[in-house]
Amino acid sequence: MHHKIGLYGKRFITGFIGFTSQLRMKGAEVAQNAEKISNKGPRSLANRMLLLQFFWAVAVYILVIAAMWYAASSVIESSLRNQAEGWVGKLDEIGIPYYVSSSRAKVKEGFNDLRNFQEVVGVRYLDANGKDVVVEYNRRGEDKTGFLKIDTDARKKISAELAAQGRPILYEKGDDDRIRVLAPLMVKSIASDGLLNFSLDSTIREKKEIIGYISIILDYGFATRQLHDSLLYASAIIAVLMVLAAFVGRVMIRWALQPLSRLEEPLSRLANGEIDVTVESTGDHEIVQIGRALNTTIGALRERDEALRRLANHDALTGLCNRSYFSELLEKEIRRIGEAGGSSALFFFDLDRFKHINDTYGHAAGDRLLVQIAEVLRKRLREDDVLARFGGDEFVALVRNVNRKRAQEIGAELVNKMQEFTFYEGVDAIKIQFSVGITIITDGRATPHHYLKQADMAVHEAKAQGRNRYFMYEPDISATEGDYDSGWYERLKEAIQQEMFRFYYQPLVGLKGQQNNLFEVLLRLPDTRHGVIVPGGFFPALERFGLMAEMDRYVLRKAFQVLEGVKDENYVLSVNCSGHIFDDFEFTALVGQLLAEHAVKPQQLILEVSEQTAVRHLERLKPVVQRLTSLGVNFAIDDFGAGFASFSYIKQFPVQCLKIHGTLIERIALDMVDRITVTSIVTMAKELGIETVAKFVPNEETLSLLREIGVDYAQGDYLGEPNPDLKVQRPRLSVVK
Amino acid sequence: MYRRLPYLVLLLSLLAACSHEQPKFIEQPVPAKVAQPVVVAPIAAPPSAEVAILVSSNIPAYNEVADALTARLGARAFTWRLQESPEQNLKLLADIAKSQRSQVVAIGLDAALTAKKLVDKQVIFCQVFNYGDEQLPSAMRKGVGMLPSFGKSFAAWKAISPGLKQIAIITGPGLDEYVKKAKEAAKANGITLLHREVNSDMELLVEYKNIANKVQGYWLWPDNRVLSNVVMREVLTFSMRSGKQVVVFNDDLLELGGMISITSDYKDIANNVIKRLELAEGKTTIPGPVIEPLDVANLRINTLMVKRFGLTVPSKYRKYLDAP
Repeated sequence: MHHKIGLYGKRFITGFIGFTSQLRMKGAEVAQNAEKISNKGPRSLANRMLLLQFFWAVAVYILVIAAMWYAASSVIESSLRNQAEGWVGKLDEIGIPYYVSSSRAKVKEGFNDLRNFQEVVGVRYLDANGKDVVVEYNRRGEDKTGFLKIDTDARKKISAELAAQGRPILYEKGDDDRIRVLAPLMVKSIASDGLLNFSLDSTIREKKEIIGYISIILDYGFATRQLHDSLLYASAIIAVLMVLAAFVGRVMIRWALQPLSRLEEPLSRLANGEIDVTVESTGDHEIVQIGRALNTTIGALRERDEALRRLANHDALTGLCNRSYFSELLEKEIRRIGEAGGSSALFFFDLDRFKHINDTYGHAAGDRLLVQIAEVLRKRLREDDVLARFGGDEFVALVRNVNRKRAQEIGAELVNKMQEFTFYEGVDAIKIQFSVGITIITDGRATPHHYLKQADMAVHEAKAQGRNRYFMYEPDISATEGDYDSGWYERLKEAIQQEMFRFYYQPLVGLKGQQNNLFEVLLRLPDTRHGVIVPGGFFPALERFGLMAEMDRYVLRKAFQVLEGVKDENYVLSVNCSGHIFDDFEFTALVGQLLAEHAVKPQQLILEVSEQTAVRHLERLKPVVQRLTSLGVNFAIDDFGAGFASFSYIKQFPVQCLKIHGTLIERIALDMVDRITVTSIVTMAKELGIETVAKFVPNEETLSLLREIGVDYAQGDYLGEPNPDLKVQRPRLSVVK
Repeated sequence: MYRRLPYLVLLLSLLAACSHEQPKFIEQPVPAKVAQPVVVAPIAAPPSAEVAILVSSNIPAYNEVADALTARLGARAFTWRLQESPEQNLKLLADIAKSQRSQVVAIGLDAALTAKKLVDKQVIFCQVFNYGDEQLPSAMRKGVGMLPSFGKSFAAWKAISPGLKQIAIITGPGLDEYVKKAKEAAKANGITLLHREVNSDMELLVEYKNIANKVQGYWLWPDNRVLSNVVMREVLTFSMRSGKQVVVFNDDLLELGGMISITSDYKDIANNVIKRLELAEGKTTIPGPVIEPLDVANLRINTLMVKRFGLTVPSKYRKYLDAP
């Protein structure tokens, strides 16, 4: 019996484990499908907790029901066994007279009592061999029960256990919730003759003799059915309670997680880029901590955003708006005027002789001047007005809500203010003047470029009329030839986009037997009237119209295409870059991208930056140069030595080449100071491992001298004029050693 | 003369007291757990021949008798005790057989069965209940009863329960002599004794219940063949429930519902053995009955059961009262 129960138990457990595995896999599959279908993104924490809770509750429920089922079944069986022992005792008393006396009538009486107990299906009293039935009882309707003879093994087992147990009882489980109980009927006698050593306190040795067997068949189906029904009811009640608990649990979990849920909305907004968000930091300790941390982070993000915005929208030197930001504000003002009416004024300021001051006193002085000019203008203008630096020495101001007359008054005031201004540099006191161009904004349909163009034309007119004055734009202003052409912006824009610029290549001749073919790239803009326009003719416009960065990228792409087309690693192109590469984050990435896309070695490219630009933007230049040289690209400082430069800044970043200013080379044969200057430059460069290039070499004598000094390369029309065909260029044979 | 009459009465009383026969029951000051022995009448001198005493095992029922015999026989008694090993017992038997002792006392069934192998020795067995099953009695082998004096037993029972008229004894087969004497003694005391013979403990239980409505009490004899631990308890429980008086063979059974415990006396057994030995000395057969009945009965009365039955113990038996 015990073996069968254990077997059933193992089968049940195995089946249960298999069932839960399938359930788990099915649940995961359902969850996956649900996630795919819903497309609502990640699950919520509350739902996850609820789901886990639900599955756990179901698992516990199944385990509990299974345990209850098993326990109850065991209890029933155990109870039946106990009952069986009682029945054996009772039936033993009923049946014994049949074996030991002639009082058999009482046996029948005892059987009548059995009819009151429905669980007794049948009783058989068997002889001592267990084969023949001495007397039997069957429940009404029962004829055969399927258990008849007692086999030899059972008899042996009973006999073997007889000595150990008071009355051995065998249980045999049958079909239809029935068990058969088999027990021997015995007579006993005390072994001691005369009971002379009898004592209640001691064990009496007895002899036992089996005189027959009693076989009882008990039916526990009724109890089992009752158990099943009870368990079903209990299961249903538990299931209802669990659903209720799940519902309540859901509500409670949601309530408990409410502080977290409230964070969802501000965090979503934060994820979408909104930093004007405040997270609630009240309530539970953890939520308070999270809220504070988030608010601190958001505050830091706002500050950083503001700083970046400032950086993106303002000039680093003067703190004024930059071109792009000013253009935005100008556009808004134009729209406003278009909607609300009225007028505003656009002022264009151009400092007179700023280049002279820069060249005379150095770039640092030039920067200080610009800062002071900016301050002067800022003080004069109102809070509502916008002042911008358009690069170089150009300032632009938007003065809101003024008419023509007032704008002229302001213009006159500013000119007078500037006339009063004195710039002090060292012991020198320098008077600064500027030219002011003014245009009135009245048309809400016009573009910012339209009004900037007008202001620019006006300032040119002011310059043309003698400077140190203002000029109000009139529609009949004619453009100054060579300085401005109507539609210049569009023309330059188109030239870049359509790649209309011509590339000319001027050779840099090696004075020490170098094998590489080194060329400087020079641009020319085709012109129907002049043939080509040199860079001096269109670079200021490029600067003014904010097209320099685009130009730099265009020239770079073109240089890579040319080098790849040459298919010779000895060809090196030197490309001029504007100061905008320091602000253009895409430039460095573009260099890397072009190196990857084209079969060009990084050593085939030299990027030139003017000394003026390098000194002015030293801190911003350093990381850019380091990034570019890390790619293997070479860097050169152009027009070196013309200003108050020193080698101190050269040491701060990797420069491979110095191109000595042409003014130091042109008269080197005649001017001792120039010669000494060049010699010292070359000597220091050599010590630092930097190559030198002498520009504007005019003749052989100069060339020989440069060779003596130790210059590495020479460049000039004498050695080779700029030519559009790269392959045609060959340096003069006489200079090749 | 009339003035001397009281003195005469007093003198006659004194003389009567002196000549009054000693009661067979020894008065004991306080009834103890163990039944008190009884003083017997003056006995004859023990026989002169040496006697071999063979004891079955080391239990008080045997040892006490052996000691009593030894005390009476003195140097004439030689005691052997049966061993666990059959070989040793054979040697012991051989020694007895070779010895000059022509009389053997076998105490207990095992000793009697062992002594049965002695062909030319007179054997008196005692403390043997089922002598019939083992076919012990013969011309040279006779016994002394194990059960106490039936006459005294019934007399005491009747005195305690005067309304007692019918009792039953249920035993196994082969105890006809005992039963016959018991019936006689019962009849002499106005009691009808019903005897039923059964073959197993269960049958005893069935018969016990079957005749319950015919009797007022039972005398439970120590017939181990038809008694088991369960049945003994069962019958006593049944008796208590059905209000039957039960005389038991052991003081311990008073705790289970027996009303009176009557046991034999070891010295009485010894004396009767010696009496048989001296009567048999020098004869070719042992004279007298197969089983010599005992003269003494030791009593112990269950106070609670007596109260339960509403009985009054006569004064002469009150000293045997004891609540278990």
